[in-house]
Amino acid sequence: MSAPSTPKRLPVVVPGSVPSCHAAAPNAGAGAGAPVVTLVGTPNAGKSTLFNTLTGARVTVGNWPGTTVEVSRGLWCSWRSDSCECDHCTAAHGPGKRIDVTLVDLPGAYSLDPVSPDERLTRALLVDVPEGETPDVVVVTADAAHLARSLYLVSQVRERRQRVIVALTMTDIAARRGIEVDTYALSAALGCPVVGVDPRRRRGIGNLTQEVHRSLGEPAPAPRTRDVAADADELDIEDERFGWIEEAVRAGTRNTGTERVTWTDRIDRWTTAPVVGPLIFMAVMWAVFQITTTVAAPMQDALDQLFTGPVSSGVVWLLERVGLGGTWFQGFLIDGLIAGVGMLLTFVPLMALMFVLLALLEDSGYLARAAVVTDRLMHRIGLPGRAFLPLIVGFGCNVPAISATRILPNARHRLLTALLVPFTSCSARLTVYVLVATAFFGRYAGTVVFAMYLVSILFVVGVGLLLKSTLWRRVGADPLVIDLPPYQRPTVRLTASVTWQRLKGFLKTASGIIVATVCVVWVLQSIPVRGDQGFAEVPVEDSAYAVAAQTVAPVFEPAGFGEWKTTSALVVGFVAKEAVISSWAQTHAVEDPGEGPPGELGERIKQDFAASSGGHTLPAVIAFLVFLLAYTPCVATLAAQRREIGMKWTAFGIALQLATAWVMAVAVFQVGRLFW
Amino acid sequence: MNTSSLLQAPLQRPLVLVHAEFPADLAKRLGTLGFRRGAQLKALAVTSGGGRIIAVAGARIALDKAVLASMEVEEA
Repeated sequence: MSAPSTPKRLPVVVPGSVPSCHAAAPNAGAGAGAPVVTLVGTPNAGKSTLFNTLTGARVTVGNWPGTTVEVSRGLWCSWRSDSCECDHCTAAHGPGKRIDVTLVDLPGAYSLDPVSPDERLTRALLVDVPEGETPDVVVVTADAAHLARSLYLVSQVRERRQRVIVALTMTDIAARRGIEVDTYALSAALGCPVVGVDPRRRRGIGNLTQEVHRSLGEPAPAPRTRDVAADADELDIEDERFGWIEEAVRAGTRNTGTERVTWTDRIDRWTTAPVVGPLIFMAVMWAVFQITTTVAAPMQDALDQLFTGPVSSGVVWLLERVGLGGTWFQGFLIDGLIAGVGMLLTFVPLMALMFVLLALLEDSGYLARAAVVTDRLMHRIGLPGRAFLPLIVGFGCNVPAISATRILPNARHRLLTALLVPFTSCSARLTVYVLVATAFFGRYAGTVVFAMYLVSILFVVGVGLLLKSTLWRRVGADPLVIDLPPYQRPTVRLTASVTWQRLKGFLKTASGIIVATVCVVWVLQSIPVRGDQGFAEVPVEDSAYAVAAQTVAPVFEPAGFGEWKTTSALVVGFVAKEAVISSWAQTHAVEDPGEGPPGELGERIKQDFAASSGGHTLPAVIAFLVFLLAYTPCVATLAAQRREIGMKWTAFGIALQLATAWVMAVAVFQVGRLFW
Repeated sequence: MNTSSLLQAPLQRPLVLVHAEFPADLAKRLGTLGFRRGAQLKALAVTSGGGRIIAVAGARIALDKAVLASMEVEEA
């Protein structure tokens, strides 16, 4: 993905912006005319942590126009005190002047010579724009524990007339490694201010703020003097930069020789080891899987009961008071709108837990190690090691799994993983597996259900190989080069802030599609097309919904389950797999067995499969299970996909899922009927 | 000069990068991470998949077998 050919000047509207109580414009940011400060820096240098600390919740995140690169912008409110310039003045000062700054957090970059879409955008916005359109101040976060590497970006930014401030992070880690940094000497060597900050503990923020205010009041300094010939080639230019960096590091740091073996060293001996590393990884994944299913499930049930119980009862009571009780409007409100909103909100505990776990794994530094451990396995299907995490989460629920693809820095990898997640068998499908397997396979039901999970893994691998060999021949060609950050203790404030931002984004995107789809299904089930019942009074089999299902049913005859009551369950399953059994019961006008034995519903389903399969019942049942596994999980997954990969690729994903599901179901039935 | 690939060099011994052959993009990325001719390295540990963790310029970088095999080093 390349950067826009005509880079837009900062600030611009970021899609998905929400109003800020501070900004006059409808985006987070200080509004037109306010100074723009851009944060750049290498990955893992604390840039985004600094951004979150400076802006708090006043942030919007969205893709840069024309790219899949995410850019955050926020409002940084700060105060410039009306004080004298002395360092240790204790005179009382007035509140000073409020200065609002638009702060833009660009993606992490090692260099302005781009090798990724993120770096191309950073270059486009800092280098490829006319000098008058660059940010007012560029703050480069530099990792004191890896200073030489961090300063490469500084060397390039200083080659232009630009106000630059270096925010020096990780000084505590540097100290533990026996590295002392003299910020004054370093500042003199670099030709720009250097401020020590610890954004996780909010230290040094005041000094950084003062330095930004001071810089804004001064003209941009001249570019640094460079000792290169006019006809220097790229290697000579790089050598000059590294020479400049080495001089600066020599001048600004002192090695105290007290380097100790750190906790990072000790822990990494196990987490990346050939045998123990994968075992630790599986334990972490099991914990993630358990938490996102077991812990979230009771909360989801409670929310579901809240909406189907007190909320619905309350609405019914209100409607009866105003004379609308028992009308179609009540049906629409309860079974359409409230059911839709309720379904959306039941995902909140699950998504919140998922985002918290992601934030913890990222912030602690473990995710980089997990990527190392799983890299070789995932490489076979064209994905990096980190892609293992979203796929594992998908076995709990596909919705947070799609959101988890954000941990992949490469847009193509995110896209491929987001297309594969729907083939992981989520827990909602499990309820249908159990009902069908118990009804048809008796004491072998457990084996059949287990087999479905194995089939799911085969689908992920098979579709991954297919996509890799067709659309993405070059995906997976990236070598493993991972910078392992030091382990850190995650902070509650940061974790909560990041979780809230992501959750807000999900709710904003998913709410429309989920609520709208549930309402549409209700409307279809309410429209009478046969008999003399009125709107919203018609039995399901006489409704437009049934007609639609009957229209679709012949498509499944080659798969052995072309009976409309079976296919109508699949139509409902397109909305939410959790509703499949209840809708099946509704179409058969029997009691929903819930989690109990199949009962009468099981008997009715057996009759349907026997009739539609022409006597080849078992192959038809297995074909049905395969179709259920592979086709579109639910509209909530589609909503999450739309947010992460856009409408075009979501539509492609739907086509891929339906085609794969139908082809495999037909193959299973047509081959199976030869034997059973 | 007794050189070997970084894949086969002994662990925990100071090494110097003598030569590396990579596509331009990868060479740029490795260069900014500190992998330049004459850079001091140390192979810290073997990872699952046969790669290694390399200490360079104060950082710890995980590299796969193919990348390691393309770097020539000698003991410092």
